Amino acid sequence: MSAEVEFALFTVAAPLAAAAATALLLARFAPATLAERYALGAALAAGFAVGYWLLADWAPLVPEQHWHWLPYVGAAAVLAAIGLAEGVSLPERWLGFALLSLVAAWQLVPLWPDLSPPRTATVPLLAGYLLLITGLLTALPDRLVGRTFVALLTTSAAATAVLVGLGVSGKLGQVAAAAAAAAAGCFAAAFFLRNRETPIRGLIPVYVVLAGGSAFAGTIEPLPPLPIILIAPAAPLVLWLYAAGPLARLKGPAAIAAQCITVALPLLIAIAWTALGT
Amino acid sequence: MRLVFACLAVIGLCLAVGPACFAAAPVKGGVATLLPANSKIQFVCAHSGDKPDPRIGGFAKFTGKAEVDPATKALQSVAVDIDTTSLFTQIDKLTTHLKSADFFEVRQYPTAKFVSTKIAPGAGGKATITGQLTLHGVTKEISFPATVAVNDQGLSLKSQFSIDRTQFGMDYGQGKVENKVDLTVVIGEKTTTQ
Repeated sequence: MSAEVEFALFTVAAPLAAAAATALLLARFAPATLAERYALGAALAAGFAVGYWLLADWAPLVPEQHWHWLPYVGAAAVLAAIGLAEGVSLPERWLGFALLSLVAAWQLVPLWPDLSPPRTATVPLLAGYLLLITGLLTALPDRLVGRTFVALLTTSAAATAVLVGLGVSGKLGQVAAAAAAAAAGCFAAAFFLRNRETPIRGLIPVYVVLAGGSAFAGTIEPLPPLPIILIAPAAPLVLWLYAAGPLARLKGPAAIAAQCITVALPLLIAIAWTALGT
Repeated sequence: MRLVFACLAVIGLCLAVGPACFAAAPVKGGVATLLPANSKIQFVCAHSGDKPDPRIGGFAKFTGKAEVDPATKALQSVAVDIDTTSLFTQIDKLTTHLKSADFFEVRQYPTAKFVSTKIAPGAGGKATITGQLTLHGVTKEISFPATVAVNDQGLSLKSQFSIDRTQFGMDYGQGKVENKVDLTVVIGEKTTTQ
């Protein structure tokens, strides 16, 4: 089997199918409150885990390196959706996200002696990066958190994979691609979910940990590091431009098109920059 | 994903007496100190298929020592530590890719090492060197031929051999990049990164 076919089957199709199936099964069979909160987050984590598991021996299930923890911190991030439950205050929600971000950063920052800045500084920096994206994306108004939003998360995850693969390493790019494929499965499943805002918000912490974690792994791999990769997972934050002001008055297809262009623009610039610079 | 791949390298060692074109590494007290100023470790890797497009690379930083019996002028041992982050090729993009997780993974494995365990002398300055090569976190025994000479100027050595990169856990890009990596180790010729 050629590498291209393996990639299409194991890194794209399998995570996508696994994520979509997980979301739909949870939505169908899990208690409504649980399904509403966790369906898409669990689907993304499961889809990524399947994609990671299907990678070759260089991606072991027993972690030997920092980025081998991605499937585990992705699974842990599913629990962050508990902060989206009714009755949980905003500070409590952010505290939960902060805890998740710190745990993820602790595992995803390597123990390299020459890491710069050193681990003691990189862990809080990465945690802050993950926390900001998670907190700000979950705080977007409901009207911005629909299927288009999931498509934009998928696009950003795919751009992360392209940036890592193009600028750093095919292996790490393949890991990031599994996350993007699983996000695409969540996008497909989102068509069949009712009351989409809550499950989509539950997807966000997992997306941030997987896409942000992959981007971080790619960023620190080369010497010197390639921080432009970190732009990709954060690109959906530009949707805040549509939360208030003149852009917020856009409706229908015009709003969707504008949002897609606004998110795609920094992604395309980052990819072009990386392609030309490496 | 990247389409440009490449190869590998590593170490080896050995001997050879430097004909006139080599400047020998000085031997003091039976020991020659190996540095980029007097030695080089070079590799050649190629794509698979009709257009192999071979590329040459090397390491700019390494240290080592070779022990010589002052009486018999025989090479007794060789050991080299390589800073894999100093890997270089003539193409920046290739250098970056070779250093990445796809191949040498230099952030995780910043050093490679060769320690000889046996040196079997042959005729005409030939020798077979056996030792432990640690590369990409994997240690394997390798054995390779070398031509060695020890004279008043010092130690000279030349060896050309191949290793299989997949034996050292560098299995990415199989079918696109050759598994076999050709190595040239020279003592008595300085490393040039150009």
